[in-house]
Amino acid sequence: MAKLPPAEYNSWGGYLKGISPGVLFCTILGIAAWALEKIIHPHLFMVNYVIIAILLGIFGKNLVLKKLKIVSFFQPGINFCTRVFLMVGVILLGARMDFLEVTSVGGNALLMVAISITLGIFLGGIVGSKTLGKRGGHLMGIGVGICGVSAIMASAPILKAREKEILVALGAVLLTDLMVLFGLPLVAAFWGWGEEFTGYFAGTVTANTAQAVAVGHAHSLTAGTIATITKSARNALMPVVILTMGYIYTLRGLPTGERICWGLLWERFPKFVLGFLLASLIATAGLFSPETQTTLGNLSQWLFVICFVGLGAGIDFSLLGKRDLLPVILGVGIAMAIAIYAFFWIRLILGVN
Amino acid sequence: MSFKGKIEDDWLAFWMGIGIILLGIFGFLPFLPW
Repeated sequence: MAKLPPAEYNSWGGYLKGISPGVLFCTILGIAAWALEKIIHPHLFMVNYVIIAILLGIFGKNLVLKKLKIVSFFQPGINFCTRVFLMVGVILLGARMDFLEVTSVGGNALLMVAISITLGIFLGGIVGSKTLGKRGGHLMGIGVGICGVSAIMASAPILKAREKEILVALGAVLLTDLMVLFGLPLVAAFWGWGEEFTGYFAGTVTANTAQAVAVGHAHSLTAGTIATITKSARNALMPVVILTMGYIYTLRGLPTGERICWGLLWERFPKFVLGFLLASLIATAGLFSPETQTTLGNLSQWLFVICFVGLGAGIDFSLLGKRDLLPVILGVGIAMAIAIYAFFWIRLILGVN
Repeated sequence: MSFKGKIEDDWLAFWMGIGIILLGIFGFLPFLPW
């Protein structure tokens, strides 16, 4: 987890000033996406506010901000929207959920994602030992298996990964995610997947949290909610995986970058998951009025839309051509294996079609 | 006032979320119908 405000700001006031252009950029394009959906969606049912927000983010950044050479002015706010707005959005989503429903979906998801993460790391180790080195492969497996960039950055110091291994793993995960982001809604629509199935699938296969939420919402509100819970279960497993990997590396006599202890488990636990659970507990206890519940639910959707614009603005055309093809193919291969596993687990074990 | 300390982004999101929820519980959040 990143510390805020970043080192280059020496006060909260300075940081707020620094992020406001980017936050404004994402908010305006988010409102535009919402308005455009009303015009486009009746004619093209697959194009909804999620896809429009991401596309506006991509084109706004690459065709306007980059051409005018003002990206750095907007970047801190864009980063803030994709991380903090997303997490606040997930917490507020909990306010319109029944706690029993959350534990039921989360319980279903927990074993499924624990296996998918293990599969990702195992396959990462195998393909890595033949190409990038085992450490790089494990890092990629952790990225694809848990939550992309954050999982890679959190586990890199434990695995004592070198900069090149981190960059390769990041490149592979980012491009794999990009393919899932645009491919999965098309596949789901083409094969007519149900909302529950799409939710579980998106939550298990997509590496990045924002993208899992986006892919689910691109299908429907229910799919988006299930994807968010499934993805949160994966995020909650991150510290366990990091500790286990550190433990395995120590057993094998490999050096680890940080001392393995229980404190690390809490330190690496994503706290917004606690907020989400707390919000759904408060909702189940009946402390919200119906109006407040509607407001919190709608606010959560608005934060997600703003975050989706930021997600699109994070896609940089110029970086795409510079990546090595091999790690990307490996990353896609791992994601495909997880997708095949998830497909059968959801159909056969969870009995969801 | 001099600048003190930093906060992890997930803790910041946690407190922002809880803050908004508390505003909602105590009726200080304006109604957002859409």
